[in-house]
Amino acid sequence: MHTTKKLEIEGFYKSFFQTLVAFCYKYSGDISKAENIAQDCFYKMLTGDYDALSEEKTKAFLYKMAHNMCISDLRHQKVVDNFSEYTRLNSDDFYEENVEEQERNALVYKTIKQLPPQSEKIILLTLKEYTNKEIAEKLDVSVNTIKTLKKNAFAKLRDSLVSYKDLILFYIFKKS
Amino acid sequence: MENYIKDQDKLKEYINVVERLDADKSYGLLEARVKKHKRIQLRRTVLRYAAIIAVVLAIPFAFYRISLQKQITTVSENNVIKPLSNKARIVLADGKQISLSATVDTNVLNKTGIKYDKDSETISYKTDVLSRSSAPKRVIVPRGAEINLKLSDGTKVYINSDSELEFPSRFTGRYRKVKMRGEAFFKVAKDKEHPFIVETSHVDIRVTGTEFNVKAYSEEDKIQTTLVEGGVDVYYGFDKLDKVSIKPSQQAEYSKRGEGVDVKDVDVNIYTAWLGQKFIFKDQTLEEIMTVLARWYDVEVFYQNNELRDIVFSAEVGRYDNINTILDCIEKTGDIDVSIKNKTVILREKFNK
Repeated sequence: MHTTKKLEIEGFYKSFFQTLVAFCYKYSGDISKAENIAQDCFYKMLTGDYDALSEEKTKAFLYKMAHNMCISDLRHQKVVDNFSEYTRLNSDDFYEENVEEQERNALVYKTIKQLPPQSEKIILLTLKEYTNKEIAEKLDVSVNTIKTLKKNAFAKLRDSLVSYKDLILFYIFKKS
Repeated sequence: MENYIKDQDKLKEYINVVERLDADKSYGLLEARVKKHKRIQLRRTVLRYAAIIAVVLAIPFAFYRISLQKQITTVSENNVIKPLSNKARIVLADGKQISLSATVDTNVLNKTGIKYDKDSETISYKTDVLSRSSAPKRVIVPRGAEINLKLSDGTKVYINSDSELEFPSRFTGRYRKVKMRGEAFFKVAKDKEHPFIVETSHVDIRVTGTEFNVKAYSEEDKIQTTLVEGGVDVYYGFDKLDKVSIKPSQQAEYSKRGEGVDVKDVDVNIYTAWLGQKFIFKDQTLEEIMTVLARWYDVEVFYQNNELRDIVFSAEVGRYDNINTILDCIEKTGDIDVSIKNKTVILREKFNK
């Protein structure tokens, strides 16, 4: 007997929701609005006829829906003075770029979160442009410790990201 | 490297957004929303069955009411039951009015091409059979009555007491337009090419295929559009150019005095209960409740003390109950003395509390 495995919603939501919000954020620059639209997409999917089976297909479905809702929302804002911006956001190119960008961000962020807690903190603070000295103070360790931990963390990140065969990401951390 | 800097900025932006979210909390909200939606679906299915059962039961009960009414006039008691004489009327293109009383002449109706199903209280018509002069143009529902109407495109309209709907027997042109006053629930037939527009005194409601309730009584300050399914745009303001869009389980409330629209999340059951067997009142003043009851039972209301108007109640009552049953409930709450005289409900403050 053949049974189709349905996508486990709660887990999927908790891992994908934030990326969908970041995707929507690119259209409005408003986090609350992006959050509402992202939630509405999930709501519509769960209360409509859609059968969520594969994670990839469902992500594509939600990205499409989110794009349409964000564009529709922009239209309602009557942004006549920003017509060129509206055209840019409404293009297929922008849609594809946005999906790629957010998927990449999600991957990197997920990898960072998988680092040991100390290393994770260091990387996140580095991205927020804290200096080594500031980070050392914040975490109550010496600057040398920070430097060492950083080096190791970036190496680890590079390894795991390269193993995902995403060379572009390699360059993000090349500086350190 | 230029690319490197851009990519890092993108990542920073992503992290900035992500760290502001609480996935667990928003999942909880989503779960609640979906569960609520499923409850409404289930309730509507149940209501449909309840309505069928109610129709079957109503017929013998109607006979009982006729005999009881005769009794009343001789005993001159102040029992007020829903008057059977108040029935909806159809106004035709040539101005003729047909009253849909229990004794309506179906032959007269058939000639016009209009069909009236007494059991479901539904008016419908076939556009190919209609003659120009006999085309239905308006349905008038007086106090104490209600009617259902099926338009030529398949749209179903459920009209409450003290309401009117004006409509073309045949929809032509880009938009399907109807005009109403009072209260009605619409189940609009899907047609994306021809948006459906409901015109009221101060707001226009535009849809493509959806289910919503409109409450727009001329004597009330607020016009409420409550959406059950689909999507609607509410146009208001000068030349009706301002617009607000609402989603299912939302209500757009327009204030004639304030001239603005308030969008709120609501429990749609409260606003669509009148379609079924009940009135549902949630945290409403006695005045608001009595207004609804007065329309439905076709009575007047007199308040001996004005403070009584503001007392707040929550209640669920049967629409087809005798009004005395409901008034008894109100009296039992302790502070109010209720009596009826000649179709007027008199509300007094009780002295012995």
